[in-house]
This record gives sequence, structure tokens and C-alpha cells, in this order.
Amino acid sequence: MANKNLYKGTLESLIFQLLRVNNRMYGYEISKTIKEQTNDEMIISESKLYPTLHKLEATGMLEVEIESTGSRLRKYYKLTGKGVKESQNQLESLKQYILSLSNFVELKIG
Amino acid sequence: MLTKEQIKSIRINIRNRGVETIDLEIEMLDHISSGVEEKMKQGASFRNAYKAVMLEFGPHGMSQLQSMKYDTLCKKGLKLLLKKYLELLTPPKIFASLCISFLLYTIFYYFPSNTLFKSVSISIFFIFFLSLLIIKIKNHKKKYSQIKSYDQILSFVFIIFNAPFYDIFINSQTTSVLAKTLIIMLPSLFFYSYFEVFLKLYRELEEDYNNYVLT
Repeated sequence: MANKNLYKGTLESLIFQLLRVNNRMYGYEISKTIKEQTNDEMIISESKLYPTLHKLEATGMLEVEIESTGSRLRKYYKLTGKGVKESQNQLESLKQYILSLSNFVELKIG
Repeated sequence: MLTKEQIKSIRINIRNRGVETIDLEIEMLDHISSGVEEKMKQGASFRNAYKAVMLEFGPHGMSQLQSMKYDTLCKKGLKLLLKKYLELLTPPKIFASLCISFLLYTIFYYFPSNTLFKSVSISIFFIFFLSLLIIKIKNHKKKYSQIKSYDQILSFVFIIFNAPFYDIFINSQTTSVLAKTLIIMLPSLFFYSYFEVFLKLYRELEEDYNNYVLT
């Protein structure tokens, strides 16, 4: 199991990437997908996920569609034009971060 | 698939745990219901599945989420306020603002006496301050009290900073007419903008909440 602190600060990037791939998703689906994709290593608490989604919505990165599932309403999030641009930037930064970290990890002594 | 009664009981519990805004309620209801349904598919009873999902939130989890939602709304409100304020300070609206402010200045200027002007303006500010204080006390434990408090802090700050300006500059002989008009205009437009933005913000919240009937 990886150190959970290592995942800190990546939540926004993960949300952007998931919405880029899946077009639109709802809160529970996002949290479940992250958990599955990281083999249960990254478990997102509701207290982290929803404020992040609301912040991205308020800053115009995400837009919302509310639909009925039959028995209840469901709030879907999708990227706006501004969000798509930001997601590309975030993905580039994430790739760069991983590359730098990977170089550091493979650093040989002597 | 949950029954209507089960969904209703979850919704009531969400409201009892401090969720006030309707979009957060919709989101929490869907999140909890999805979690409960998944656990029920694995063989758990509704009761046990519900307990397990609620444990993930913790005792104050929902009210904390509501609080964070208000913070986001307030930040959004401040951005809208700035946008509105700048909109009023650019043509063509600025011409209307200048005309109204000049009219107000003329009324102040031709006031019968300085003492009367001071007492009227101070009384207006005092009445305003008092009414805001009463609203604040009345709404302390009501819905959206958090966002209202935020709004009222802004108005107190405005009044405290604004009253001395009126007193010092409007009656000064050395200040130009344009400067006096601007002294009236700039804070008044700010006040107007913030009233419009924040009142609209919680009117919308209240309408959403009242229109969303428990089914």
C-alpha cells in the first residue's frame, strides 16, 4: 500500500482526467472509479471530493447537468471549455511531475 | 433499487444533519443511495448498508460539507460583486451613476444646516446599522445564517468606513464638486452591487429549497 500523502494534491488532476475520458460523471462514480483505478490505494473521502467539485464548478471549470434516475435526481459534472484547457495544462504538469519524480527515484548513488 | 420510503428517510436524515442547500441535498442523497444500493447488492440489509455508508461521513461530515459549500458560494458572491461593481463603473452605466450621485450631492449641499445634515446622516446610518443587527440576531439559527452573516459583516464594514467620509468630505470647503460626487457614488455603488448580488444569491437558494418538495 502506497503512502496516502503521496496522492495529496492530485485530486483535481484526477477529476479533470476522468471527465476528459468519460465526458460526464457523478460524485459517487468519480470516487468509485478513482478507488478502482488505483487498486484501492486512493480512497477519496466525501469531505475532499465534493468541496473540490464545488470549487471547480464555482470557478467555471465544470458545469452541471441534473437528471432523474427514476427514484432520485443525479448531478452530473462535465468539463466546460475553460475546464478542457485547464485539464490539458494539469495533465501536462502531472506528466512532468511524474517524469521528474521518476528520474529522482532512479538516481544512483556514486 | 431503493423504495420511495427508504429514499425519503435518507433525505430527511440528510436535512436533519444540517444540509440546507438543495444541490448539496441532491448530491448527498444520490451518493448515499448509490452506496447503500451497492452494499445491498452484496447481501447487506438496508439498515446495515445505510449505517455503513453514514459511518464514512462521520458525525459532522454533512454539516462540514454544507459549511464548505457556503464558503464556495461566498467566494463566488464576492467575484460577482466585483464584476457588478466594475460594470456600474463603465459606460454607459457610469453616466447614470454620476447623475444620480450629483443629484444626491446637491440635496446634501443645500441642506438647511450643517448640524441638521450631520444628525440626519448619522441617524440614517445608525438606523441602518441597528436594522442589520436585528436581522442578524433574528436569523442567527435560521437557514443560510452562515451566508447572511458573511453578508452582514460586509455591510458593517461599509457603514463604519463610509460614515466618517460623508462627514469629513461632503462638508469640506476644499473638496471639489466632482470629488464630493465620487465620494457619494463609489461606496453607494458598492453597497448597491453587494445588496443585489447577495440578496439574489440567497433568494435563489431559498426558492430552490422551497420548490423542492419532499416526495
